[in-house]
Amino acid sequence: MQRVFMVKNKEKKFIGQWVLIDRKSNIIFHSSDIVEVVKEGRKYPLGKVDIEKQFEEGSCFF
Amino acid sequence: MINVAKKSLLIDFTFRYGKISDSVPLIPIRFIGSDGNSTQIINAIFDSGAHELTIPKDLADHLQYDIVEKKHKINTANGLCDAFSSKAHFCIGRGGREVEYVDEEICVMENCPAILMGIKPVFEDYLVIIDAEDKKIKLNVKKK
Repeated sequence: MQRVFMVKNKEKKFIGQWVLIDRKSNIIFHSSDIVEVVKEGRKYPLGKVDIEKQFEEGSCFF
Repeated sequence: MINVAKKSLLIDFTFRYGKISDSVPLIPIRFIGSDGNSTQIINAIFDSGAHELTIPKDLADHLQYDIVEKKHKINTANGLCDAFSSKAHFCIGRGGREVEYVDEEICVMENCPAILMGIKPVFEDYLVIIDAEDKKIKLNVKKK
């Protein structure tokens, strides 16, 4: 778990991580634990940040 | 008592792919926990291979959703795994244009790698058009 500011969104260093993204698409927080990111997200007004996970191309799920 | 799933009036949507995951179609969803508090918008993956909206167990526990273990293991791309059933309260959409689902049955999995928007409820309620070239997803309310 680590706080990161102003990381450009296309960087692949957060693959597999849940990330908190601001309106300018900067990653402002990341963790492998979704709950940590959800809790961090509650510190911001609703709708000001999004939560997303970055996947490597070729990922499949079901 | 059995709670019957309810939803607000359906509206059409157009979504763009994700901000950082720009190779998969995503849908904005926020969950309302049993305490009434909402998460921020989480970008879930459209997954027509999943029967239901599927979320990680850690998130279901955080939202204080009741879970019941499924009688059978479920098949995933990673093989058979244990899963649970739950009922969720969530909204799809953003910016005040949202559709709310209450007591919608969902699947909960340990080690679920993502939030997966499966057939139920969105693919049943909408004609889903995924335009991979333009990186857009259109949800058109099905005419009944």
